[in-house]
Amino acid sequence: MPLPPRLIIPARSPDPKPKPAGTVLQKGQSLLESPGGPSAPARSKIIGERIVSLTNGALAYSVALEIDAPDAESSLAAEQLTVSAADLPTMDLPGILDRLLHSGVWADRRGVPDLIGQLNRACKRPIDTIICNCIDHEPPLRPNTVFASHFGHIIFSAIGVLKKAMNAKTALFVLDQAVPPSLHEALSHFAKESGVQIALLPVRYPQADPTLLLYSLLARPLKPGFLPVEHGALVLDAAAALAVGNSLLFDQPMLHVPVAVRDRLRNESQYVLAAVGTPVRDLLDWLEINPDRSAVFCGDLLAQNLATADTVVGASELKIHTLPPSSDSPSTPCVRCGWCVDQCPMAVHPARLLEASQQEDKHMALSAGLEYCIECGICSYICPSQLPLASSIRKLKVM
Amino acid sequence: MSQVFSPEPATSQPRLSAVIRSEGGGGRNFGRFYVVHMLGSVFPLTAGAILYGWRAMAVLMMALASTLFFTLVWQRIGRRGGSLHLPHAIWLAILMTMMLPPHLLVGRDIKDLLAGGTTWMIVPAACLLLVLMLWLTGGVGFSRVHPLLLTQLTLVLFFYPYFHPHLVLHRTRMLTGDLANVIHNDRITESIRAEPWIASRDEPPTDAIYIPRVASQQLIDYTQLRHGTNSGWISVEGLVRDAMPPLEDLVVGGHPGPIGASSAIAVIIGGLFLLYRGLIDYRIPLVAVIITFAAFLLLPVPAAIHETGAQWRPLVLARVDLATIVTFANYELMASPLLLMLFFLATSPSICPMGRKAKVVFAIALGLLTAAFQLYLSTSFGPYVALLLAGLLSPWLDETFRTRPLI
Repeated sequence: MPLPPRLIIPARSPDPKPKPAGTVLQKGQSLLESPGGPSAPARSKIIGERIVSLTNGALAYSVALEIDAPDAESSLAAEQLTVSAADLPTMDLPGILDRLLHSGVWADRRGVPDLIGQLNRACKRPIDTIICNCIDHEPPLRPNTVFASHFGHIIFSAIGVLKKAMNAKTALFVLDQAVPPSLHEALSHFAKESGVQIALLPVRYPQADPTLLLYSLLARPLKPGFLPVEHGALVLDAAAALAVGNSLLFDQPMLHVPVAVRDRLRNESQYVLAAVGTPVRDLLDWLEINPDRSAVFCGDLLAQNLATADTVVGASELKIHTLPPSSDSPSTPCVRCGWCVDQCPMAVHPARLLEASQQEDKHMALSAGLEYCIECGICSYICPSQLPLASSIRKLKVM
Repeated sequence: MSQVFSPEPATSQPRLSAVIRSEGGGGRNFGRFYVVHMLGSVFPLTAGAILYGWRAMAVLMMALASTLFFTLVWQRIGRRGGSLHLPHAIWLAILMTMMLPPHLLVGRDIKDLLAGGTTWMIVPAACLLLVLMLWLTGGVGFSRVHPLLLTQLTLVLFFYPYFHPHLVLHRTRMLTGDLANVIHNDRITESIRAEPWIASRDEPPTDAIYIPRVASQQLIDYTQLRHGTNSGWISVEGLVRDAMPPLEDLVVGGHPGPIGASSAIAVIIGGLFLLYRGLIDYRIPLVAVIITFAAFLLLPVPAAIHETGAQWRPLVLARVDLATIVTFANYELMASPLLLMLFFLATSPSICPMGRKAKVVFAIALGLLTAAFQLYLSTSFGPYVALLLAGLLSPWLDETFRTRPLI
């Protein structure tokens, strides 16, 4: 995808401060006063600081850029380069962390909870397992499988480097057990080269959630909201591993991210490389999807994470769904059918959580398993009364 | 070579590919809920149409029309009227028809038929009562008491003699015959067959046959010590061997019963359809059937009835051979509307608890209560009374047996 005329590049934190508005940047030059951090993907001018919403619904401090060379095509260094096992550098973890921060690499989405936070914590405690979470649980949209098939060598190399640096016993590359044998064979070759094991899982939504993944693979009880490193495992996904690989192997900053777009109006899936900071609206315009005539959701569809007008692509969710706008049918009272309880993957009690939300009763919410809810949205989807269970639980969590 | 391993997934969630059918729309709603339930009821109702002909379907049509009319009227009455939903009322009317005897449009029994019975009035009266109960309890999910159970038990209370079916179409006249056509040369075509209905080869002079004492009556008469024999005494072996109809008639169909509960196989197929569509939980019918069966073996029943009294013993402790014990329990299971109640009523929202453990405990309680009421109160209506009481336990079960988070 060509660079849009404006980018709003989110930063992981408001410190250090960005360069003042009006500063002209060359390609690859940092946006910040201090060296490192997010950098400009082309010759551009800083036009200000913003607060924007990311694709996971979080708000982030951002730097707005006006691009001078809008026709520049996105590319990843990994596309042109190859790497062999012998080329894998040996780095220590603080060195890796420095390099990633310098390259502006970060990720914080359901499949990769705060990558930099995990690495920071990993410097202080032992990590025995690295998990590359390449599960795609929405069959028409398979970003992890597509990225792995295109950039498998970089992804596996990155995992190999991290494994060495952390002195981890195991590195797992988790795949849907239904992937084509040819892809499995190709990935097995990379896995062998980099000392990574391939783990096959029957994929059921929301299996890719770190809590369920750690429970399935390692029988470790990771509470939602906590980092997997607290249980000795580092979790990242294909896109994050790709960014890490590009940074560690080729010293490339994270200027672009692979994005998967599912257009449910045309029943098409598209995979594009978009510059970090591309507004979702511009991305959809380029894909000839009219965002005004469709509802846009980011991340897992059932999580019902609605994109707002200023949502930008970055280090958070890389899946975008466009649906025909639906008229919201009114909810009816709970009939105690128990389907939400029956289908909840974490075995919490969504109906009771809704009641707790209505009564603003935190004690009742905790007794119904509030802290174990992974906000997958199955309860809202399955509810015959169409009650806003997931959104009520989100409200409870911030109460 | 890299090691490949396939650990088991932690949970049993639905595959998303199966869940997202509506491309982002709601997964289920009440429209689909009722439509799928109605589709599930097609199987037992079809069996009813085959066994009882057009008169059974006329009962259904009359029930639907009456329910529609009364619902439209009661929707305008008070604030509660707004909670009445036509699809729900229609679904309950279908369920109620499945619980009604097929002879309501024929007459109370043959004597009434000759006299020109007026039992058809029970159908609209039942529908009026159903809508009234629905209005009072507030619709699906609002009450722990099923409005249909209240309706059915009230009807039984007032019209008990009219709720024992005795007529069934002959195999050669199934579906097309007339249930009222049972008299030939001023004589009723009675039958106490030894051979199963499905295998009968004789050519009867009438479309329907009359069975004076149906299986449910035989069983409750036996356990209530009212079973009369010429010799003055009867044992459980004698009951099973001589008094009961062939078990196939209860399993496949061919023995008089409620319109939707006469063929156990059809009810089970309907229930399996609801299970397949994910509308009901398998735990309740499965656990309840097992517990009921076990309770039939363990609860004291008369091993033999003499002129001087009866020997009450659990069947497993009585000197009765295993085949007889199992056959007796099978008759108890098949002669009552137990399966219909388990698949179509006990799984209703708000009647059963929400949690998995609570559902299992509920099913155990329901199974025990059903066996007790069936043995000592009424084979035909015991399961409904049991469900009425078990439903009252649901809030307590939900509170006591809370689901525990996965981790």
